[in-house]
Amino acid sequence: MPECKGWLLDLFEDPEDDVVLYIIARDGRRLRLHTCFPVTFYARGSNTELRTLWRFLSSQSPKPVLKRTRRFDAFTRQDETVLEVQVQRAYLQRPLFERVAKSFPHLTFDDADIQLSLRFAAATGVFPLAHCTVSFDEGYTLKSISPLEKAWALTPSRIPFRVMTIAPNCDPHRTLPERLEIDCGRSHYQLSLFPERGLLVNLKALLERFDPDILLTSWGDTWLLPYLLETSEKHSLPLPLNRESRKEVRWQKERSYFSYGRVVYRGQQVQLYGRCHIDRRNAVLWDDYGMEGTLEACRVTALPLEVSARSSPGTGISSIEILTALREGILVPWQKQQAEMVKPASELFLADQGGMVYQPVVGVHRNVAQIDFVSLYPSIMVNFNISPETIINDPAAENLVPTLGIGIDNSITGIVPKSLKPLLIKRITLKKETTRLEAWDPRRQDFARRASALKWLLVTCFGYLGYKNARFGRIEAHQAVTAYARELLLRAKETAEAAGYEILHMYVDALWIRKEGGIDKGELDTLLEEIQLNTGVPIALDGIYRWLVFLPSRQNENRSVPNRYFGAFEDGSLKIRGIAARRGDTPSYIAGVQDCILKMLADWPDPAAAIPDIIQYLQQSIRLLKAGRVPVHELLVSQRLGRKLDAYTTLPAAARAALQLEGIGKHLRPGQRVRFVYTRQKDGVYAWDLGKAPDPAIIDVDQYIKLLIRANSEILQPWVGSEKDLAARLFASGGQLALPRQPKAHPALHASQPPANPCVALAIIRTM
Amino acid sequence: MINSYQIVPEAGKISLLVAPSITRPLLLEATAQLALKDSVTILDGGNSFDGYGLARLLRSKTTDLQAALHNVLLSRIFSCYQMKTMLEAYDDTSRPLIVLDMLSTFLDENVRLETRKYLFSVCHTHLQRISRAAPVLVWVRKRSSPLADDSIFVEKLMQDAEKLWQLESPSSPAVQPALFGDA
Amino acid sequence: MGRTLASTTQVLLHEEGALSRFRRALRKSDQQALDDLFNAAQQHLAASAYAAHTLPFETFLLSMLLEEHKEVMRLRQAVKELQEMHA
Repeated sequence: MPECKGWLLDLFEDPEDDVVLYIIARDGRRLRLHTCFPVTFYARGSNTELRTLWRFLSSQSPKPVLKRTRRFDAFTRQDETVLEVQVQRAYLQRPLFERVAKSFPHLTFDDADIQLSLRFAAATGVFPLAHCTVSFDEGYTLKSISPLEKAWALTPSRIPFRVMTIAPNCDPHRTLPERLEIDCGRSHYQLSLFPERGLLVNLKALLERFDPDILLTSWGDTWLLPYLLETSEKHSLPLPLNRESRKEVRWQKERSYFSYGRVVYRGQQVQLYGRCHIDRRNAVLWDDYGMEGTLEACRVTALPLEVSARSSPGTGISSIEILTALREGILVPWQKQQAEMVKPASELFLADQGGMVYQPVVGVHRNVAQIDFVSLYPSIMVNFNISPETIINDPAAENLVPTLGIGIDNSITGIVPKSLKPLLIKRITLKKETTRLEAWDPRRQDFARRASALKWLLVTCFGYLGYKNARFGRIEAHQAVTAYARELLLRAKETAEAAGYEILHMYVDALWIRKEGGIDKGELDTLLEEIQLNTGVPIALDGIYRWLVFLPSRQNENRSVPNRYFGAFEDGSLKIRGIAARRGDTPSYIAGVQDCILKMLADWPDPAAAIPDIIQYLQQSIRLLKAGRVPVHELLVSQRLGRKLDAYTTLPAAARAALQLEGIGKHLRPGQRVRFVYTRQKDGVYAWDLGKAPDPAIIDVDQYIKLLIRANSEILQPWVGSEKDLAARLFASGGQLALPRQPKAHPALHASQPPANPCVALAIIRTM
Repeated sequence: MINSYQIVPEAGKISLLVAPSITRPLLLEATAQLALKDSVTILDGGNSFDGYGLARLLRSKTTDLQAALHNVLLSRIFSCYQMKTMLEAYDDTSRPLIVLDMLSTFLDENVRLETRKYLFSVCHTHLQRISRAAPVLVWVRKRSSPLADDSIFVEKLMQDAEKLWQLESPSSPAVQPALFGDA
Repeated sequence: MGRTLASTTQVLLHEEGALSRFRRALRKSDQQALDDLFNAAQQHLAASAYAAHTLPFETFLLSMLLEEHKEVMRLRQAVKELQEMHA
């Protein structure tokens, strides 16, 4: 019987072959194997109902295997009597379950709607993209499959993917592209979109010749593939996008949904069989961690590559927890039924708190160290074993959670800590390994991106613990985590203060500290070790700031806010939080000016010395605007549409721009971004995607000047004062339009360390 | 805050309050009265429970704030499935029950309407069961822009409610309180 | 499953609002002094939150007193230094 090693590329249900697997074999072949894969779900309820269900299921053909048994429920913390229904063919399970759920609304169900790849991974240990050994017969029926590596491997085997990249030559949502740029391996092709038949014939030939495993596109979900399929049908020329010729590609509609207080837009999706289609523009966090991170997320969540690439980290975490539950024999609820335990309202005040957030000391500070706990919330969940099934509602329990009067049952390790521990260890290890690599080492990017994918999963897991629809979410567990977090942060504070440090600010898992006379690195290391000893969670130095500014509230300059600050580290790099230019809707010109100004501040040991140069630079930037010398695309504002157009009572700028687009047939959905410029005309805005660039003369220059001043008054506030003060200084010289000259004997430039100032030079060059 | 209306659930009936959020002070007052008299259970279906507001109100009526707060039992419900499970298992007839923003969880479009209707009817049946032994007050939040499915559920509740208040603001009713099922 | 209780920041805003009539009737210079007191309370919101009182206003008052006392200590020290200078 043939046996070979390879990697699992794709896995799906099929009416004829039940479960189909596509394997990239080590010897270069692409194997299509199939197997019968029985799938189990469970039903619970009254005996009468269950007996009726039994009769109903017995009349199905093929008949599922039925058994009365017991299985562990994470919320009741005990084994429950269940009816086990084993459906002999995986592809039959979902339709059968849907009929059962409709006809038996009084019953509750478990393990009912789980991704095939998760079930497969739980049963065989083989996850998508896993290196494995397979054996099969001449009919390509799978006989056995076993993994050769774990999902948590630090350096997983490299998969010899064949990747075909397809991208239109421009953004198809703005203008119709003329050609497609295609890369297969080392070859590059350009296919003209017209004539259409020619495109199809050529593309078909490329697909057949190259036979890619992964189709990496730009706008593949929202434009390219739908366009190709439409064109293919029009000319009756089938395109082998799927490897599975019998199947049509899989479509998912576009939708807008509400998540954590925001409207999120998910474009339509086109998924393939036997191949994986990833749309760079529609893949979650692609900009953050690219292909390496996407592959990593796929491996550790055991979701198929196409699904994983398009799923939020929340879905990923949920999958990991479900996989753990399946492996442990714990019921996975179909619908979360359990509500919070009824408790006296007096307990709510202590329990219903979030992370600890301080009010920083406003102003400029020198030599400040920022120390952060490493993945605090996940570390707490793992170290203190916090999980829905480990919560004991007893104030006299042994392992009490601080403040809350509930305990943790440490005789079992919970699903959540079990799921998170390998994730946490791997992330920490990857981070450590990354710092040991040289800057030029090609593995650096790979490690960093994979660590980032893991980071996102970890960051989401706490929110998921408290999420109302999370299968293993439980509000008491969520509260326990925040209670521990507050306790540990306070212990860190006490340790630092006992060692003579002053606390400037604290925010959930980070502390900003300083010491009279400066920070000594060796002493600091000792402090970090001590804090780790007192809390059980590692804490690391984020950096030492040469100077750090905590800004006051925008509404009231006598009040502080917890997360508006910026500063320069010892190496000159900047850290910026909560400032306008960091927001997605700031025009790039203004963001660029602010970046320059921040750099100028960072270059000086005492930032106050940079102010005169900065004022000059700002004046130059304003002159450029007035003279119409700023390219229009740098003035683009990009804002999200919060709701449907007809849901607005007064139209904000973004909505007015969207209306203009409606006028030319471009419909935008809530959650999508609208790009526009501010104009002096009636509407006040000009939408960018109207196809024609706006006449520069209509740009509302005064509005942009105002935005420029506002954005920068924020960061200059400690030295210059309010927005009005800044404006006064900027226009003090009467606002002449004369070209500036580089001052020869400017006192600031002849201070101890004249900084290299590319931004000032750049601004001067521009005005020449 | 002018508060000329008193909402008081009575034993043996489902009392229904259909009113916008702005009338929450009335509910707070009702909760406070019940907490001071004996105790009360609150099922919060829309994350509307105003803890600090209740504390302030109770403080103006009693010196033993902690004891009064201890008499208010609370559970927060985040989905229609949870509402059904909670009401199904609810067997505490020793104290009144207030359900806040009853329908919020039933407006979840992610759950099929058929399923929501079914779950709602189960909840309704159990509310009737509970109301026979203890006073039950249900608050339905009247929205300024009502959602499509809203009316289906509200009408069902209104049909069966034995005591109904429909308010627009804390002090002036749109409809005089009526005792349904009155001879 | 979001938070149910108002945040301590929101509670402070509520208490300020509850005193708006009082503030309005004060002379302007007195209004500024009152604002200073509330700014003082805002500086210690984290402690108020952690205290988890059912009536947070008590902790706000304590914060105001705390800042006043710090100011007294600072002034005491300044006076001492001035006296020593002129001794």
